Amino acid sequence: MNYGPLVFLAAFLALSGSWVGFVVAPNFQLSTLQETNTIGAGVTYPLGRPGLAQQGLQVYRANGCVSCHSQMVVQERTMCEVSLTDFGTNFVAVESALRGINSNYNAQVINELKKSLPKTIVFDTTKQKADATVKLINQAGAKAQVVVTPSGSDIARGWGRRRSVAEDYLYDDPVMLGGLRVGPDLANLGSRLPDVNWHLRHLYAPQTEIANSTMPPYRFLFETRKIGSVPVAEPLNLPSGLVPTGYEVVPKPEAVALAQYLVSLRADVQLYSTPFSTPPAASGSGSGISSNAPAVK
Amino acid sequence: MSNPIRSKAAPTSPQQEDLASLAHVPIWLFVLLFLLTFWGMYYFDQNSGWFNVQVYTPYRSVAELKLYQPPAGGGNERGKAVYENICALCHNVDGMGKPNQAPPLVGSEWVLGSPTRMARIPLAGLAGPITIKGVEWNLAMPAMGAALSDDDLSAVLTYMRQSWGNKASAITPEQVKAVRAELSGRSQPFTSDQLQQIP
Amino acid sequence: MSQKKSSPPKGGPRTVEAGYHSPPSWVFPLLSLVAGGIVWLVISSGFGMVASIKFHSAGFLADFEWLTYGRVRAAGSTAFIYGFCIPAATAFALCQFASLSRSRLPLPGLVLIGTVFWNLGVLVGVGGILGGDLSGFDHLELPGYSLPILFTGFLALGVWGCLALHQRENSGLEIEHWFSLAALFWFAWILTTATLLLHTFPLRGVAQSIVSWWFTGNLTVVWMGLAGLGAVLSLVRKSTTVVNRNLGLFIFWTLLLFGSWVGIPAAAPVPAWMPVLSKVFTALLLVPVLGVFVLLARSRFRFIDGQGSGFAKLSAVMFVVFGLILSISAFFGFEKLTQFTWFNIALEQLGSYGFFGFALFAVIYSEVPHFSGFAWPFPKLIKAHLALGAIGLILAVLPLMAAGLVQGLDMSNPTVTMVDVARNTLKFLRPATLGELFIGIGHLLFLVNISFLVANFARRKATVLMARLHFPGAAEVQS
Repeated sequence: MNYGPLVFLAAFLALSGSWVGFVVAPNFQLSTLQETNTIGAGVTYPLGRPGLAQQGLQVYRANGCVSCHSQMVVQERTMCEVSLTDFGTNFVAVESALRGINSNYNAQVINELKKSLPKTIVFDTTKQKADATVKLINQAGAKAQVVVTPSGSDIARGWGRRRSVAEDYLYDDPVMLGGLRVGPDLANLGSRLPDVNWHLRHLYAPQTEIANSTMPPYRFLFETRKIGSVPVAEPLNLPSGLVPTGYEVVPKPEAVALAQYLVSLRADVQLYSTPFSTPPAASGSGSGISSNAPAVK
Repeated sequence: MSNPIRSKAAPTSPQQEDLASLAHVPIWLFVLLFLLTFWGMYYFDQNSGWFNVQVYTPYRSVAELKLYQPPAGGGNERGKAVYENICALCHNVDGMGKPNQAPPLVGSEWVLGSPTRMARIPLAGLAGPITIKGVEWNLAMPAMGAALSDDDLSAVLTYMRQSWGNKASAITPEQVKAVRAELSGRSQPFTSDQLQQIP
Repeated sequence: MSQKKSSPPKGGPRTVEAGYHSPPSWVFPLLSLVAGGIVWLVISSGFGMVASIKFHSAGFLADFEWLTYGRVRAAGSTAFIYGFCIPAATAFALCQFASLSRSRLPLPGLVLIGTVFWNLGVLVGVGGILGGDLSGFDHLELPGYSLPILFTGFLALGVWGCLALHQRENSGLEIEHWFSLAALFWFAWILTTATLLLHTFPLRGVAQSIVSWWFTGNLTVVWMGLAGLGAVLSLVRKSTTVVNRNLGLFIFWTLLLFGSWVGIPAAAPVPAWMPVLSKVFTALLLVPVLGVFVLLARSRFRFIDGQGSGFAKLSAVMFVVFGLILSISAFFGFEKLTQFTWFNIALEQLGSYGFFGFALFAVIYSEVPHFSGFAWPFPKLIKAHLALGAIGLILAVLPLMAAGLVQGLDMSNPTVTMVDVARNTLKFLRPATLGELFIGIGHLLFLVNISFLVANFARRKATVLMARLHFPGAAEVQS
């Protein structure tokens, strides 16, 4: 029996399987994504980038920035905490409820706790346990709430509040996610470093902004010219010594566009697929992104 | 030699072999294949969310994702989310305001007072001097709430009136709708004096 | 093709002055396809060196817009994959098909057209990349406008391959022919898909990245696996007692079935089912990899004596090592440590250079003397190339893997700043640069050898042509 045609058919089916699975199916599933209203706030997301930032995306592509920077935040787990927000009036009931959670809560500790509300009373637990605890506390007349926090080393670095999802890239073309992190992830660069001028100075001479940075300078995106040779100019405010006296460094349109693009990188709204909650206020620094941006001089 | 190409032997005629001689594949390779396939199916079942477009790692199923959603209802969650997204930038997450940016909302007579008066501020904006808890502020607030739906705006106003120790009545979407209808066509922000005249 | 292969011609041009037979007209275009590939190989290692040095001194050539790290790296990888790998593998496949037939093959001009268009396409593409038109998609950095040129070239070569195959004398095919044929077919498929969905009608959002990952996975695992194994298996000395055909078909089919789903990283911002499915199939890749190991073990790692057998042995070993690391790392959450690190770059280099590049070197060194009729002018340089390549590969891959592991550990600790993460990898990148240098020198030796061989070939061809012009009757002796 000549089973050549059979081999060919089997190979064809095997290969078309992956084509259907990873080309056709994702396309049906993800290409039809629409802007959605974010959870609660009713803000439409995502919106396209402003025109200049879109041009900046092309500068980012043309210089191969994707070789060294990724644009996706990894979330390893989702942590739950319980935060006590209001002690209520029934001290005894609340005390016994708290003892039930953790036997270390004696009257002294609880009195300390009562002074500095809101306070986290249960750390790093599952959602079911957190919900049960909140119910227990509420029954005692106090108020508590569950705080849902995405976690992982990327999030601890302040690269984002949550993982990246398909919606974050809806209007980018090309989408450049990157696979190697020689430098930091840029998915939320605009939230950490919103200053366009910082980015311009950093592109011109990275080491002036971040000591010991291994990033190469992109001086060709700038023009060094005699002060006064062109009437309107917005020179960079660079440290002395980098530019000869009597000269100024002016960003070319590409540099401005690239900086605008970098500032426009923000993907931290809450979507159905990425639940999280902000810790209750007044606990001071506990909320929002703990900025771990590189040391800014 | 008629051809510089090395003459190769004709392939050992494959027609004589048949599929039955799969025995030439070691049996342990098949065992491994089946074990791995079984593991693969189990792993997929446990982790993939079964092709759901909303389920991303580290969530493993639709049910797990649903569990982590913020509680529905209770108005305040919605109000809190809107507040933190829009208002908290200037008024701060704790409602205490920021110097030279926005006055506090905690204990403010404008927040705790008449609902229809309070609703006018986000819908049309506020400019010029205004006294809050005995302190005079002179800043301008744009019509931050004009783009919000009645539901979202009433939720966030209620959140302000009932959080951080504030205790005042809730504001309903109907009240917001009525105020919005009254203000249609208005492009100027309110001043402190104009607001005083609202009951 | 089995036992006869073990007696290749030894030393000196096979053709003797008295009985010279001019080779078929398709030999010269195929030879130039291979030679062009080797020129691109040298160019790619030049770009690789520049890119590598940029890591040690960020300011190196930093003021030339067309030499930024991103562009040079993309140009280097494009020159390697599209300039060398694809034409050389295709040339080998065509040579395999052509040698199944002893009659005169039709339309040799197609090979010439294919060679010219393909090299033109790569030239336009690499130029475009340096000019800033790179696409931003890994392994398909070529600008959109160069792809139709490449596709035309590939189509011409592929059609000719099918014609040659159609004229074969024995209807049955050896397993290595199945590998080469499937590689040709699947490459055309994935290139068409990627071109249409990334350039002509770009998809929305992250669907682009999925197609790009699918393309990369299929190029580096399925296509390279098929074409590379086709090359390596053709050099394995077949034992008469063990029939490996069915094992070969088993490998063939499982590689296609599992390998074609590899490539979507665990961290990808896409619904969980895609990375999970990709991970499962990556683990299943263990089956064909062990299959290859069994097949090689059965023939006791013996390769047909030829000048490329050293490369063939290394290549076979590298395939097994590459496949084992790739598939086993899917099991233990290893990707949490290695994602976004140099480890993946090193692993890819192990596969695409250690396995696939060496497989191509092996068949080129072994087969070119047979089908051109000329021996390698400098046999010693082949040994030098093998030594440089092996040392260079080890120097390039092992430190990069170590760098990746250190980088992964550092990145998982948020108190280490990214500047320190990058600085801590630098000491590993230095030996890697040295490795690149060795590899590059090896490529230069390769280029010297092929240039002299092509020159000999062309000189002979010109002599024959002259003779034919002067004594038309003499031409009848040929073929």
